[in-house]
Amino acid sequence: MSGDVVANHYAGRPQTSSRPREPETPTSTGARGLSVHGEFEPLETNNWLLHLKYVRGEHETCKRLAHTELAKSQGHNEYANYVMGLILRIEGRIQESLDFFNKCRQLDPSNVDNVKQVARSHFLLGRPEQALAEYGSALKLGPPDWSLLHGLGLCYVQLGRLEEAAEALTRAVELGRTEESHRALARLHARSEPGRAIAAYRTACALFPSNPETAVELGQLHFEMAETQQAFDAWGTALCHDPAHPAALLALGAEFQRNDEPEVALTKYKLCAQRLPESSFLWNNIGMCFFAKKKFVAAISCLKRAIYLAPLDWKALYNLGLVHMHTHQFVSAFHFASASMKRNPLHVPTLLLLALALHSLADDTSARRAFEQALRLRGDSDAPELRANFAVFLKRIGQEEAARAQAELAMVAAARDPQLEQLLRAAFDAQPERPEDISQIRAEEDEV
Amino acid sequence: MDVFYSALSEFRRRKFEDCINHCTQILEKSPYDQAAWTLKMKALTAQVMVDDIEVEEEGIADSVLNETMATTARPGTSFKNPTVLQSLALGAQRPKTNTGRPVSGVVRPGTIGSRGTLEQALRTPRSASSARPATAQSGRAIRLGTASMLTQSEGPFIQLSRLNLAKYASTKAVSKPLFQYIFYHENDILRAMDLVVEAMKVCDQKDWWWRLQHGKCYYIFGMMRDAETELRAALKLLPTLEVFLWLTRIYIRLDQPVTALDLCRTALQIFKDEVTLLTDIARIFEGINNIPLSVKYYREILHQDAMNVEAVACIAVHYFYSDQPELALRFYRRLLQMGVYNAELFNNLGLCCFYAQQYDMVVSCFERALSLAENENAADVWYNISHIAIGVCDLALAEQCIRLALSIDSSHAAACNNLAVLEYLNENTSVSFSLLQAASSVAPSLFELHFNRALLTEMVGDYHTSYTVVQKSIEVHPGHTDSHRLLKNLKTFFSYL
Amino acid sequence: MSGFSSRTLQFQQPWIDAFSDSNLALNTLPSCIALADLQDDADSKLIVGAFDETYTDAKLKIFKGTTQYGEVKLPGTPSAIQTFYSDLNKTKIPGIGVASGPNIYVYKNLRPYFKFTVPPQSEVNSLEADIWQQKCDATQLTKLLEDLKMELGFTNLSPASQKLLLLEPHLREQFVQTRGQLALGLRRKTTITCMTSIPKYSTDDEKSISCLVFATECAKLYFLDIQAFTILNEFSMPGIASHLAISGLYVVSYVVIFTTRNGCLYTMNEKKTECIASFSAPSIGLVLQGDFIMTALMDSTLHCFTIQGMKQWSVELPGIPITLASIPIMSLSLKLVAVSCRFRDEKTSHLFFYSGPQLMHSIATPQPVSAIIFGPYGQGESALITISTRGSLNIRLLKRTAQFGCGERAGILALPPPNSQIKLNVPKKSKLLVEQTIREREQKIEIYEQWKRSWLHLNVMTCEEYLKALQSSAVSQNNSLKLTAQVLGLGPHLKIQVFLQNLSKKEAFTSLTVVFHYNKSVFKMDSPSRQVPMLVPNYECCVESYIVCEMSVSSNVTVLVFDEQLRLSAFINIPACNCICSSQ
Repeated sequence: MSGDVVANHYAGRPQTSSRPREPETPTSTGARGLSVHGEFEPLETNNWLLHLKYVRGEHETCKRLAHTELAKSQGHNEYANYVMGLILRIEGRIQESLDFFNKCRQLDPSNVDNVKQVARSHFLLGRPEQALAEYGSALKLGPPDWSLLHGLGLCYVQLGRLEEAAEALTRAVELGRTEESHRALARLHARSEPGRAIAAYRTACALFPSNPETAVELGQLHFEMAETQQAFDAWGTALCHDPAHPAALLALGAEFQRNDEPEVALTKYKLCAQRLPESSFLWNNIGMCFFAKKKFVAAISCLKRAIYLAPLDWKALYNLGLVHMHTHQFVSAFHFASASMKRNPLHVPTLLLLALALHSLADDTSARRAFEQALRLRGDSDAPELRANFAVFLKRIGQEEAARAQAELAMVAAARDPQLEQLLRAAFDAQPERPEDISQIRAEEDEV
Repeated sequence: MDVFYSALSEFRRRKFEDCINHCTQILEKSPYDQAAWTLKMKALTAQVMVDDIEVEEEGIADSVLNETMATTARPGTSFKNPTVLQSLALGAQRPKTNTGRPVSGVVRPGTIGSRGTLEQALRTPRSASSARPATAQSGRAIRLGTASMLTQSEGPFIQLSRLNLAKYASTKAVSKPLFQYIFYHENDILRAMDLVVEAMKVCDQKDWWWRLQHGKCYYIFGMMRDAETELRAALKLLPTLEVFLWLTRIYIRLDQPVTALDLCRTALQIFKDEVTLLTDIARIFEGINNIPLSVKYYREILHQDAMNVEAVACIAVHYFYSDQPELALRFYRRLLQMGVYNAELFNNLGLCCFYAQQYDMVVSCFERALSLAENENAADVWYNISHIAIGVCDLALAEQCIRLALSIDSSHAAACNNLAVLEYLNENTSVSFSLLQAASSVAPSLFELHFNRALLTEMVGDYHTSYTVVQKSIEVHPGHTDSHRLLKNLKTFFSYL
Repeated sequence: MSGFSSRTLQFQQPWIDAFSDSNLALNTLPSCIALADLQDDADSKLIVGAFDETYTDAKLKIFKGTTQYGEVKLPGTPSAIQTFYSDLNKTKIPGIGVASGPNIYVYKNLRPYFKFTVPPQSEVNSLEADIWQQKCDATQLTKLLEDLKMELGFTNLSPASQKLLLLEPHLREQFVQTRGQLALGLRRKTTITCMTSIPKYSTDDEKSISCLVFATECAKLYFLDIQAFTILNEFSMPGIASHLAISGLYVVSYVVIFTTRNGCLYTMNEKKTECIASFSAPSIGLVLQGDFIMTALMDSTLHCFTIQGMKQWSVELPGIPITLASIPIMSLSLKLVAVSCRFRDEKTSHLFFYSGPQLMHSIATPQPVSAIIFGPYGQGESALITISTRGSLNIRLLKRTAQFGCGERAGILALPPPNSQIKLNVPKKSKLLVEQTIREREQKIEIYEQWKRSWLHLNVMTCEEYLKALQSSAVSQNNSLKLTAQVLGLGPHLKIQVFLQNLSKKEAFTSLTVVFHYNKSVFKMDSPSRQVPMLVPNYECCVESYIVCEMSVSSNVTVLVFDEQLRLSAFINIPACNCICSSQ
């Protein structure tokens, strides 16, 4: 390679040496010789390449290169150790990754990143106390960094020290303004202080509008606080960014369903079913939509699928009992109601359903016990539909006196609702063949 | 009556023992009576002959050590990698056996076979109650070997080593029975092979029967490619059903379901509506997890043979797992009417009754199933009773049933999983955890185990374990959304910085 | 169905596949490719810095049209390649600056033209300098440095000290002497990590004189005058830069934008450095379009900021990004960003084109694209050149009639089908079901009574069975012991593994014994009884034993676990083994 003769500027001082040098040749094994200028090939020569290979996801190449570097430096290349640690962590080999990070820390104890990674590894291995200690020592090394405080916050959450967690996460949010910290903080607040949680979610949504998950969680929180409109808005925002976001669709669908719009709800659920085919909540809600449309067979199919997916879900069991009551399959209704009752013995409508089913199966003793248990759970508060049904039941087993008393109580509880009065009167006069439709048993619907 | 005549008649009436005695009498008088000699040979063979077309259990060594194909095949082209049918009909997601094959309607050779690593093969099928032979050859040799030992208390009938094979090969009437005797009764495949070679010389390789036998010998030695060429040659000479079936068997062993299917279809054009061929097709489809097509062929079989137990059972299973237990119930009833009377059937009847809401029959079915159950399937019956108990939310009973199931089969992974869930509901998280851990080492193909374990570990903050385990769950069931969501949450902890 | 027809509408592919060669094995990185009119003949060439497989050697390859036109062996592995114009000559021959290690090698006309070396860092810990000053012998020196290493960390020592510590003990003496003779300093050579250029005086002419800007491993940023090869400016950076971009004019004002290895995005000018964002994942590349900064992160997100530091938008990418590049399409006054993505299943890869947060277009690529460059190539004005991870080169030319944004989204990103077309997969029910419901209605009371009775019976039966199992210890009391057994091996020699686990919360088992009960005529066993170490709660213990089958019959072995009383029993089925060899 013969080059044009040019001047080589060395730190501003002209020199006479000319063309590009060939790569230096090693003079002794494992170590490169002295260069012309007297500086050594630094260990970190190829760090840029390691980094690039790592971020581009070429982890196999990266590992190979890192091994070469480590062999060359007898394990003393800090960044190669660091990258190995990162890759092994992604592969889920945390213990090995921790070993590499520990090595890094040994090589440069003053580097905050190294300590941070050690702490993170402990956290991932389920040792929050150790992680906490490491984060503490990392914080002593330099100015506070959001990621340290974020990690610290997560450790506190894990240890159940919520106040300290909130403090750490708040500082993390102030320092870093990252999405993770905002969400972690909001989730933490959601446990105890929904007001602050909503504020945190709102900031997160404003700063990072494109993440539908945050919006969905905000909506859920609003919903739990009975702020339906805000919840609606939040879910809507989520759907703007991901028109098929399953959780948002499910929540919206449930809301439509609650407002007696099963058709609209079904369209939402249809979309949702594409992405969440194995959600029992979804199938439960779909089932209840069909129920609202009086398509009982489809309703039963869907509800049974919900139960197949979650056999111990009392709401789906209760709904199934309800649908079977409507199709006059009293044995099945009894069966599902009793199953639901075993899972949630305090749910009064289940007991009412059970009582009615038992009555239809001519097991009046058990039916009566179910009624009485339901009334006991309700206390002496107003429960017009329960008392009305009880009254009809008593009447039909021939206890006129008690029946009239219960009927009177029901009337009082319903504040002399003319409709109920009429229904009761009809029931008393005409001796209907079966108990009147349980007028106000609500269908249970689920939230995300 | 002539002794030989009565012997012949007894042979036809399948009274082989008497036939052999008579032949022995004749041979004592005239040791060189070829007719009697042949008849005795035939009778002895007939005593132990098995229908070897019926696929026998693929041995562990055969399935693992026979690395004839690439390890990662395209979905649908290999039994090892069955198509994952992402049908949204949930019921279509059949449960899997411990070894990772979707449950089939009938237990037949091959349905419990594991196709995975050597370690898995060595451990999983044996830890459960299924005893699988080490190699196909040994499995049969034991069966036949003991059978022949029992019949010959006074020394072997024919000293094979002294036989002049070339001489007998040229006598047509004797050669074929002799081959069968050597092949089935003595199970001396090497010598049988020698005889085949001699016989082939005599018939100038133009006899399809000998070619078929040659192929069978190769098959037993595991020389699949040679067997294939022999059988292809036999097909050219005369397309017979037996050869087709043997060829199919070879392709199945070579793990080439697509070729096997093509072959069966060609054969179907010659032998229209042949049930054995249809059965083979249906089985192959089931093997590559294409259940709808498999069921279609089973239906076809029922058209031809309404009493086919396998077809009825497989269709019933299909209905059961596609949310139509009432139809499944009807098919199982048909089996009952056909005279099948065993624990499995009553167990399935009970399950169908329960899910089809015919509550009055459920318990009696299970009680009968329990009374009929052998040790091994009793575990399964108890496991299913536990499902009924879960169905009525009687968790204490469910737990007892599962414990009973586990006491019979300590490595019943599905039972372990359910017990873990129940223990979790009882807030015994650590017990639940160790149950899951033990079970997932036994049955790595149940994604529920992995997912539950991942959930539990995530809850206690052991993200590391959770991360690795949830990935296993996704590997087994790539369409499981909950696993994906969990992984996504975990990823934020693991990746990058 | 109107919705359907619009979805199948064929759209015009905006690119012409001009050239493709998969046998070139070009191993390169996005920072090491450039397009330039090397001979001022209005025929733009492609310059690729190609590595060998081990990344120890590299070549500069020049492509013209569809053929390789020139090749130069490089003295080191290049971290960046940048073309620039450094003179006002009439024929505009650009220089190719190749950053490698601490040097920038400049080539003109494919010949080495100049070499510039970044001045080494001379900041050395005073203690370390003192130690070296003391002129003691090697052993003493080593000892002192070892102590210092414990304090500062190996990384923070000067390369000379590092070298000494890594040497074999017997070589150290020689090393110290040589060093003493050469009277070398403790300076540290650095490495250029990324490089770009900025026009010096005007932006009107593409071929005007510019400055090289580069960042080093020592977290320094330099401006290099390429006429005189003097350093114009030097800044300290808050971290080691991984990607670098610059906007403005050197003589007027400029903003340097860079990302650091720990995932922060900074802007910097003469006066101040500002952290715009700190991400949770490192950036894989940086693109500057006018006032907008776009960066893709390792966690599959694409973010946009203004140069002033305002967050604009962010979207989730459909796959794992490898690299990104700016695709300014002047004819449509459209500025696209191309992101090359890989998918987790490793089967497909795509190039995605974004305009703002909108995905405009995508190309499926057979191999993941490792490097993208867009610009004039040959006589063509807009060529999209991609090099795949497996080294194939693809050149696509933009059609004159090209349109983007007419719904030509990639197939894999298909929107959910219109609502009317989704069928809810509700399980069907047959007529049989209806018949059954009729039966249920007619015989409800009988069914109910029967169920109630039989269910009670089942309960009783289960309890009885359970009691029996308890008595025979098939089920452990209080469910405190768990036993699983496995049989390993092909036979006739088998290994039985019995795993015992204590599931109770408090109780510990101190003196458990495992006994194997078997048929002596079938099996032979060396140690049919085994002591188990103390079982503390939640601890799992494995008892192993070897068993030999003497007869080829499948049979079973009973495992009994004792202490004072029988605790647990279990059956293990042993498969029939091929043990002809052992019986003969």
